[in-house]
Amino acid sequence: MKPPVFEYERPDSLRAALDSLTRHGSKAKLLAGGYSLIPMLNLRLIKPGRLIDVSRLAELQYLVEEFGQLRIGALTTHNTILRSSAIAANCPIMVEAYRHVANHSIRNRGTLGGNLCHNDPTFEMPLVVTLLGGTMLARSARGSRTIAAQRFFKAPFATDLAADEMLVEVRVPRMPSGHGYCFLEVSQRLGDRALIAAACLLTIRYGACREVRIGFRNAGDSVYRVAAAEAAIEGKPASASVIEAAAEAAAGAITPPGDLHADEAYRRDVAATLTRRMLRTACARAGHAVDG
Amino acid sequence: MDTLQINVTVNGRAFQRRVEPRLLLSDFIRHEIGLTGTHVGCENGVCGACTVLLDGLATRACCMLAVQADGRRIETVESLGRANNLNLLQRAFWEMHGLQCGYCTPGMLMLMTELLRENPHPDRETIRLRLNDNICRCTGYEDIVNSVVRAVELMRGETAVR
Repeated sequence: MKPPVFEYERPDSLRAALDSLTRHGSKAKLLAGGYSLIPMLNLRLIKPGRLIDVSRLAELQYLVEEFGQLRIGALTTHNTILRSSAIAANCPIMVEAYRHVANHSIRNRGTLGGNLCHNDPTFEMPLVVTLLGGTMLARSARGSRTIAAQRFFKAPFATDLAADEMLVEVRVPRMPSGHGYCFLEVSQRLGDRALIAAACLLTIRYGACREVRIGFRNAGDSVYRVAAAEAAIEGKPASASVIEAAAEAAAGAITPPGDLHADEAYRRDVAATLTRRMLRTACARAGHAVDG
Repeated sequence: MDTLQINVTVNGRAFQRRVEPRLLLSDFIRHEIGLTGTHVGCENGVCGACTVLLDGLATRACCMLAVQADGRRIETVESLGRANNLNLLQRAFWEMHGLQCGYCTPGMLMLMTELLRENPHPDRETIRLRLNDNICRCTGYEDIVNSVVRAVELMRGETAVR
């Protein structure tokens, strides 16, 4: 089990990396943390002609807070983000979700950009960035463009990036203090691939849930936000019956896969249970404990 | 076959080699440098047996190319104690029976070396959470956790070395 033969280069600037990507396009793969790409090479699931090693591009390793948002360089490692006080203060759901992203050793070297671009259907961060209403900044030798997270993640293992484009920055808005949030996941062991992951964001104003965002991972080809579940609670008081309605709506709306670890019906049950738990937690964090 | 020249420091010693880009760091350490303490388990980043420290950070050597280690500092299990002079962490594994077949042990030791450097007094729960990284198929983990707890005691000097 060894990687197939490939050309290797380690450009010393983003510009050089983008030039190479333009020249080699779909024959080339960008190598960041390597924890998805190199296993795929080892297993010979893919056979790229060239690896462009961007893992040392310091110009894409940063995390800055400005104008009400956090700008995260695509090559910032998971552990850097996980330990950031700016993230803890402004996007606590990201910290909660990171508990489930692989494990410490992988987070030492794995990058947010690599995770998002690989877009494995069990990965947590595409869901988190989508729920937060994040924006992706892509660059190529032709120029740059921004892509809303909701349009960036197209299908399992597919994104909106063209062959000559590279994700260079992820922007997530600061969440207001006092917002409710929760990220929950069921997997066979902590850090394993999610059987189902669930997340929500909301605020409570005058006793009613507002700006409710509910989403799932590994729950269908392109399911991130589940409109039916959001509609079941938006504008309503945070109560046990409203939460139950949202849980039922979520379980009915998703189309989870079935495999040897869990069939579809089990995953729907888990999604409903996680919805109940996470909405209660989110409401409590927003200062409104739900009775019963 | 095209090869690239790399300079890598392994356990404090500088090595210069020409390698194929597709050579994994785990195979470089074992076959080029000849240090076979770093074990190879799953070769796809799941088991942690090949864990080494890369510039001080726990890293899976099967998920990294040797060419990526150019200019970097690697520490392997051979950087710890020797058979007749174990370091405290190894001694604790020995005392508490923290291994059975021993295949996962080099990875466990390097993983815990990183933890104990960043936090010399981790509690049991912290140790358990970090050990979640690596797989052991023999021990059921309890004795590994006990070993690391023992290592923390030995490092504190609270109890005499047995």
